[in-house]
Amino acid sequence: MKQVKFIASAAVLLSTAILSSCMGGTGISGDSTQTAEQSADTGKTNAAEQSSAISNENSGETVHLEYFNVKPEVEDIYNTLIAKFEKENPDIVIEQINDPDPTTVLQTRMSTNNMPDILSHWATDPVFKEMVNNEMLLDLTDQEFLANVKDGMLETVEYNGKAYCLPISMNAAGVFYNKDIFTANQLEVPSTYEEFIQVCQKLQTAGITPLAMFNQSSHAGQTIEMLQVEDISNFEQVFADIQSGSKSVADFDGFRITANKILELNKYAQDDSFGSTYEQAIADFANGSAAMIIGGIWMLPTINEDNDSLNYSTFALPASEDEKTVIPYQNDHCLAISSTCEHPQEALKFLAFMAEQENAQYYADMDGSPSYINGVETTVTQTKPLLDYFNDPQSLGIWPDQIWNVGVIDSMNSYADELVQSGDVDAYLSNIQTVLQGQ
Amino acid sequence: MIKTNDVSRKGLLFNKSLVSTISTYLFLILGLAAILLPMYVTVITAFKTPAETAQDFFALPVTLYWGNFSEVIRASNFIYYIWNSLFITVVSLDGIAFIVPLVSYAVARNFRKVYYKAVYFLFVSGAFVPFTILMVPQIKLMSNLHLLNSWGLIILYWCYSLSEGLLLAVSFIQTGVPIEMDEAAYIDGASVFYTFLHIVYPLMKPIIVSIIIMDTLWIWNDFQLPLLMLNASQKLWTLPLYQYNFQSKYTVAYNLAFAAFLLSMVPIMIFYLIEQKQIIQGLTAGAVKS
Amino acid sequence: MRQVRAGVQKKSVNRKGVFIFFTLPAVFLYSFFIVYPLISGLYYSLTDWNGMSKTFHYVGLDNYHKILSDQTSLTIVGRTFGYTFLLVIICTFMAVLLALLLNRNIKGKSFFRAVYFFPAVLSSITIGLIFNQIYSNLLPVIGKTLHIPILSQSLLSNSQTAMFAILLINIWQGTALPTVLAISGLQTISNDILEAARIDGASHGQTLRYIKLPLLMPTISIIIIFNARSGLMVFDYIKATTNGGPGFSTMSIATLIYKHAFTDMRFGYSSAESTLCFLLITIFALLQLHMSRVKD
Repeated sequence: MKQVKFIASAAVLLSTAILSSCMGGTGISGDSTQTAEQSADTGKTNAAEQSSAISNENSGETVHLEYFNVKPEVEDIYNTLIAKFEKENPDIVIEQINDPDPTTVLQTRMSTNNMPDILSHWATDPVFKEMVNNEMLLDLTDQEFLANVKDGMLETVEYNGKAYCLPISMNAAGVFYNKDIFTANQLEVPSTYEEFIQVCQKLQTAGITPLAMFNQSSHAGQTIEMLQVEDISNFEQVFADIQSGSKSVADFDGFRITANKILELNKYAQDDSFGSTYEQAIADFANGSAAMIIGGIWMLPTINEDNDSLNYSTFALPASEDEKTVIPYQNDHCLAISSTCEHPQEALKFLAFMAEQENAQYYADMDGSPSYINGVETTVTQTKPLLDYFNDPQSLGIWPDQIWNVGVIDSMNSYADELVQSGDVDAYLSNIQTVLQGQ
Repeated sequence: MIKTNDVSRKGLLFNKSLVSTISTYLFLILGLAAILLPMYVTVITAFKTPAETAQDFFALPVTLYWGNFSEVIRASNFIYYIWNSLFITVVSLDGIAFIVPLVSYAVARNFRKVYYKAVYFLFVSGAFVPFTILMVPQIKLMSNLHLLNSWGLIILYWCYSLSEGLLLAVSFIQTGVPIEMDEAAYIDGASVFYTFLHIVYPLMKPIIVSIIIMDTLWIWNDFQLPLLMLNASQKLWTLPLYQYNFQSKYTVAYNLAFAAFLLSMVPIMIFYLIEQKQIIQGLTAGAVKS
Repeated sequence: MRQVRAGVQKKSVNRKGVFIFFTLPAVFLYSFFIVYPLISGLYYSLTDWNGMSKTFHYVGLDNYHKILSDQTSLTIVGRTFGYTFLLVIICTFMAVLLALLLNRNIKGKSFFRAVYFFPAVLSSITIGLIFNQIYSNLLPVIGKTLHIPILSQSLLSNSQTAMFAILLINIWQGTALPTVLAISGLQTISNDILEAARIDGASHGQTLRYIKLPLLMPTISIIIIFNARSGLMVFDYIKATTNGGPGFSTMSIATLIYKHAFTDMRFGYSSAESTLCFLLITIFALLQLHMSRVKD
């Protein structure tokens, strides 16, 4: 009897399944309602409701575009901008896709010819180069909206004189610090690495966790890159030489120095930093349980979301006494259109919208990063100390991972984790030699 | 020797059996605790406010706080993911319940012929192929066919179910459905398909139920295939995929995480409570045969 | 009657055709969605394809050479074997022990059995995530209050303990099905044999050693195969907890192949790894089959 019951109930479930799948499949209206619900969560209820109302009215003719976002920190900013765009263009619906593991998912989609219509990415990233090389992106060179990009900035993201993206923002990295904790402990912003360590020591003596580290999310690898920019002179050439095999890691002291520095810095991390994810470490900093966090200005929206009354600012991760302090930067994200996009005109419209000064300004205000768009000023006070470095090109260095091959960064991060766990500098150096020299 | 020790042995046995009974229970209860403790933590944390959890992880909640559940459901279109899981599982099973017996019947009745033997070994040896080798070419193929969606996943479940399904069903027919039944039906003028549907299929019900139960648990809980097939869009996620993808969001607010775990487990828990005997029998039969 | 018989005979010729028709849907699905990708996977293992470029080169057995000389990969293979070995030993031992206990005349037998089987019906990703939370939020609290250094930080965040922490999750779930298998194995042992042994004065230990265990051997070998397969392919628990870290300390064969294919874009290479993995599992299965035949 039970078997009969089981089969009968399965049959009932099935017929319900088929019925509702038919009902659910009647049009785009169902999808857009879901997008609306998601944006409603973020408190942009009005705009979202409007957009869903509009899309429902026109469900017959609307063009549906997929926007794949690789920067989870700016999900809400894009929700607001997309809602505004949809209001201006009632016949276009853009669905923002946010995946917790966006780079892997995007790479899977690349390798299975299933590219999203519009995507954000990093214009100098090895994976982006891969997309350009494999003709996966629409050539945007002749688009009018690219005229809105600041003079001389478009060239930095071009390939063979052709533009495949609209660059939106740049990033920079340094140290975020809690101003109230610094004042309470009479601490000054350090200007050399040695002073930085002294600040850490004083905080630790005072019973305060100096650094929030997210070692579960490759913090060691990221921080080592920041150190390499300062401690390995002419590092772009160095990495190129190692890759070509003409030099080796052992030829440069900088690798050993940075390895020792990362070990030293980790002495000032919170307990169990390897149990801490990116989100947790930011939350630790935002709620004041750690005084500082090392990382990029892309963390700003998340810090503000966690605690919007935190009194904080930034300083550059300082170099050792006789070295010049250099901060790493890169294209923080750009927008590109896939060459397989079925509605390129509508997708281009969205890029043109994003290139408008007003919208780019809104983005910069929320994100705190320097913009590529004409007339946009970043006025966020917390990141200003880092942005000032952009006035002196000698103080800027590209993130080393932008020079590496696809897949190298992942292994480099894993070996950096191993280094912090084991403290074995020699093993680390020989491991990264293998990785950097190529497979 | 045995006789002389008889009396003392009995006394010893009595003590021994008492001791062993007590230690048996002790051990079993210890094992019970090991299994139930994670479940206990899941349930209580899901019903507590973050403040309560911060005070004492182990304590029972003061009041049943339902806020975590409504938060999870509100924030993530939870119903959607349940629906996706249900749809994929039910439609896959429906196909499996038809395809597997059909091909098994043909193979079992013609096992001496080369073609059928080849089909049998081709399908059964599939159980040894690690998924990783198929992974990328298969996903590429599905993408080219525009099948990176629920239906594509369902088709793959149909394919993968054949290996174990055929193994179980063929041997069941060979031993449990006498060929005389078919022949009697043919003599009465029945067609092969009629015979299959009305004579053989009903007799195969026990093994079909076993296969269905095994496959229910497998498909409902599967993670690797949906990870590759459905990760492109949130709308397509199944429950396991949703949980995996939201772990980063919930690392800070773990009350929500546990509420999500509990919500995801409820359907399969209910299924287990109702069909417990069938599930244990089905899975046992499946594992022994394969 | 005659007419009917003639009809039946004619039909038996047709029947062959009908039976082939029965197999067609399955054969088509299987060839197209499994055999074809399998063959193309084997082909790609001989190329340097990165998974998406339009051009790639035939490199022969280069990938295989590289794998066999890559120290990190070999360490990971070795670790996966060690993991599998421990998993098989512990799960089999626990399953047989629990089955022997549950097979006794005790109260609440079916309740115990139902609870012991329960982990098998849950999704391994959910279990992995629950244990992840327990390891990172619950155990450290206990460890700190009791001043146990090893527990005062997450077991998953230390490269020395992380793999064992994952093994524990696997054991928690992986013992369930074998226990029930062992119980049903014990129940097939006829009472007559046990009765005869008791009359002959065999002790509990002797019955266990000379009767129960030998008769349980077929079931035990099933349990071993079952756990060995799941150990060699362990993926879900790692994805749910450490994703292979810290460093490479919890990478398994399956997560390594996944990483090479989808993160590092070395598709040809990862196909070669999968092929080797396939060979490994096949050899293991054949050995197991051979051993059980020899015993028979």
